Order: sequence, then structure tokens, then C-alpha cells
Amino acid sequence: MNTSSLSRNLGCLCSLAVLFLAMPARAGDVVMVLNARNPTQELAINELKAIYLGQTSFWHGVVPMKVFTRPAKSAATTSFLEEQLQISVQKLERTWTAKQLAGQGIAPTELAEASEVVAGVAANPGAIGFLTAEEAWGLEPNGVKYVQLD
Amino acid sequence: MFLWTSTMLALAADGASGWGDLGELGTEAAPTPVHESRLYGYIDSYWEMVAPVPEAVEDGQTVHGDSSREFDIPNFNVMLQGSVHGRYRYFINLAAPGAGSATSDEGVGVRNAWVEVPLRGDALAVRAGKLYRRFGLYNEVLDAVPTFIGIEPPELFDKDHLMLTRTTNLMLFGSLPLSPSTRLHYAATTGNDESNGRSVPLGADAHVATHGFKAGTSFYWTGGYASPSRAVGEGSPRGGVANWMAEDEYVVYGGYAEGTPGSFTLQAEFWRADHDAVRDPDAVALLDDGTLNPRQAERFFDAGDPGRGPAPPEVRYAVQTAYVRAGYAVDIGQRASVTPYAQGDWYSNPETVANKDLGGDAEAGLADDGVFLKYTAGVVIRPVPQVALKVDGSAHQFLYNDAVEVFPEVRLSLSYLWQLEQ
Repeated sequence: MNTSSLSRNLGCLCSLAVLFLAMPARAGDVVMVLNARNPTQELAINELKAIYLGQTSFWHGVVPMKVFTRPAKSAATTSFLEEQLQISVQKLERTWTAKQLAGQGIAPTELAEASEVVAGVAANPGAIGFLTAEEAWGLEPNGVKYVQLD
Repeated sequence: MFLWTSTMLALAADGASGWGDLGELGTEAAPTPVHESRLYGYIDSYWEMVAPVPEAVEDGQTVHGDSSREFDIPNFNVMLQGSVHGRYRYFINLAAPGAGSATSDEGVGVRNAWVEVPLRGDALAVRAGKLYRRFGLYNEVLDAVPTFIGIEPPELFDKDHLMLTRTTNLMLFGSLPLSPSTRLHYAATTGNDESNGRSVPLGADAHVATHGFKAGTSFYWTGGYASPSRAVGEGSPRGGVANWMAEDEYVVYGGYAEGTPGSFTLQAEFWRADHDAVRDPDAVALLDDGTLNPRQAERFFDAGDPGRGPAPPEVRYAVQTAYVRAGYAVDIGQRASVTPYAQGDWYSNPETVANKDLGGDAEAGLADDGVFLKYTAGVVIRPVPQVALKVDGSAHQFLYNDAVEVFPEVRLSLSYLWQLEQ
């Protein structure tokens, strides 16, 4: 691990620690996972809805987004999609099926394991995923950063 | 407008500054995959039964034909969508309409084959090839049959009486945020369409989307005289120019709105096409097949008598259509859903005939005045999101032989979406 990646990971660990210390973890808490190079500091619910429903596909107009979801019955999906965004799994699937059949974009990639989300986001500068707070706490955030929901 | 657009683009560019050297993004040790693609599509198996339809008038009495039944695969699509570096997108959509027929199935056709280059993120992109124009709520999504409420497309894009071509060749499009939850979407199109080689067709669309509500307008102009896509006897035209025209300059305009509050879907559209056309006398002579009603005979022939030759060739007329659709999705568990829906369509076209082989329309062409109403009710049952069973009943209402005729239809559609595992 070189110096820059070490400092980047330390920064991510610090931000995770601050995030959890500042906000008592609840069962439904979710954190967004962004690539460490993504300068985005905050994400509002409306922005996340636009991202997950495919209404916007570039970060800051320049970097293409790569969106990851989780299995329909996972705690992360229930907490993020249904409780935070208030979008049912069926509605998300219907939206993306229609978009795919119309050539308007490729549906988000589903990743089962939290470690896959971290690895997938770290590998793509424009990637975004989500984890439950419990999942995030147990993972080293190599190449990613965690962003609290606004 | 220019100042506002410039400001939004500048803000977008400022936001990018934190990414560091953008040129490195595709070349880092862990880059975006160069190629990402998905192969998928769907099969739509279909059965329809139509009640007896009025066929002729004998001794002043309406004579009805037999009821008819038909199996078909109206939609069998294979699609490949992908991107290079997550940025340069492409889409191939192959379809075999009528694949269910043992005797009249058509070959596989290219519905879409396009490439797309983003010029300014979400704000501006260019798409070139063969593509569905952005027009109203449905043109771009008509090949997404399993996902929308209803089996039949809105009359604007019913293949028996298209108001304009569905595909074109070049589209500039994009969207800009008006507020954190509101976006303005816009598109401009051009292409071969029905051009006679000298005209340059133009299309445009703009709509605002916010909080599950969308409202917009679309416009199309042939850019001069357009030519028929098919000759009389070759079936329904592929665009808005009737088969018996020598040339036709027309514009299509209207508006649309869609609301999706919670589980509801509410949609409404109105469209009008104003035609300024010149009929081809030789082609008009072929319309005298014995099925023209008195109004149509009067319209196409001198004093309504085919023996006296065609009526003056210059003609101006308007085609109009409108519909409302409503559905309510009831989610069952985390996979299944049931969506009852209802639709009402209205269509008016004075310049058509009943014989589809000639290029006419067996709906408006049957009516005394070229107008029909269609009421539809049905349900979409999805045991899983990838399977849709639609059960649909509708009734056409129109004037025939000075009396109101209503004939019902029942349809079943079972569609399976498929996709290769990633």
C-alpha cells in the first residue's frame, strides 16, 4: 500500500468514525458508498432518487455514474429504497425494465455482499452503492468513502 | 435562456473540479470496465377475439361479418445495450413483428441501431443511427410492452394509422436541473423520415419532470413535401403520408402529461396533424374497391362517382387523437404486482378508407365520419417483474350507416422478459 492510498484509507476510516460517533446507529441506518475520488460531500434524498431511477447519469456533468443495488430482500434494500427513498422494489424494477427496453440505460448491477459493494465502488470512479451501518462498520473502506444521507 | 443555460453548465463544470485530473479516470489501475453490455429482450404471445364488425350496407341494412380470432407474437425483440468506458452508449433492437403467423410472418427487422456520445454530461448528448424519436409519452417506450399499462399502443402510434414515422436518424437531447427535484428535458431530431430528398424534417420535444409528474409538448414538421412510404396495395403507411398522395407537407403538435403519485399512473395526450397534400390521381383510382362509404366516395371522386374521375387533388385536412389512461399498481410481497387499468381513446381521420391493404385503417376508415371512440379496461398481473399477463377488453364505438356501432374485442397477452446472466 503506497503513502497516498494509506492516507486516503485513513481519511475514509476517520470519516466513518466521525459519521458513526456523530449519529447513533439505528436498525434502519444506511450509508452511501462513493469512490474516494468523488468530491461529493452530501447527497439529498431527491438526488438519490434521481440517480436510482436513472434520471441523471453523470456526476457533475462529467463522470458517468455506475449504480449498484442490493438483493430485493436484503436489510440494506429495505432500509435504503423503501424507508429512505420510499420506492418499492417493484417500482424500481419496472422503471429500469422500461428504460432498458427503450435503450435509455442499463439497470443497476445487483451485488449481494457488502464487500462486493465496496470493491465495486472502489474500482469505478463514478460508482455509487449503499450499505447498512452495520455492514459498513465491519468493512475497511479501501478506495471508497462513506456519505451520510442528508 | 442562453444566460441561464450557460450558468447551469458552468455550475456543472465547477462541480467537476474536485475529481482531480479527469483525464486519468479511464486509465487508473482500477478503471471503469472498457465494455459493459447486456443482451436481453422479450417474447409477447397474444390472442385476440373480435366480435362481428360491420362490413357492408345492403338494401339500407348493415351487414356484419363473422367474429374473428387470432394468435400472434406481435412483439419478439432481441436487444443489446452497452457502453464503452461507461460513457459512449450503443443500442441494437431487432424485432420480428407478426412472428406468430405460420403464413405471413415477416423477417427480423432493425428497429433501432444507434450510437450515443455525451457532449456535456446530462445536459447534451447526440444519438445517431436508427432511433425512436422523442415524441409524447410512448414513442420511445412502445417496445417496452411488458412494462406499460394496456396492450394496444395509443392511436397516435397504432401501426395501422401512424401520424408520423416512429424512427429518425439524429437526435440532440439532454436535461438540466431547474431545482433539486425538477428537471427540464429537451430533444431535437431530424432524419430521412418520409423526406422526398429535398425536405429536411424536424422534430422537437420538451418536458418538465418533477415529483412523479411530467408535462410536455412535442412538435414535428416534414420540412417541405414528404412522399408516401408505401404505395396503394402495400398495406398501412409507415408514417403520416397516406399511400395515395403524390406529396404531403404536414405538422404534428400537441401535449402530454403523466402523473405517478404513489401507485397510480395517470396519463393524457392530445395530438393534431395538419396536412397540406396533393393526391396522386392514378393512386386514387385504385381506392375504388367497392368498400368506400358515400362520404369517402365524395371526398376522393368527382361528385362521388369513380366513373367521373378523381376529385381535385389538392387537399387540406387534420388528423386528431387524444387519450386518457389510468392504472393502479397493487404490490404483492416483494416481487408480484397486479395493476388494473382503464383507457379511453378518440381518433379522427377524414382522409382514410377501410381497406388496410390499400393503406387504409379498419377503424376510422369504417366510420361514416372517420371518427371512433375506444374504451378499454384490463389488468396486468405480474407474478414476478419479468412476466406480465395482460387481460384486456375494449369496445370501438363509431357511426356506420348512420347508426352507432359498437364492437368489442378481448385480448390476452403473455410476455416474458429474458436477459443473459451478467
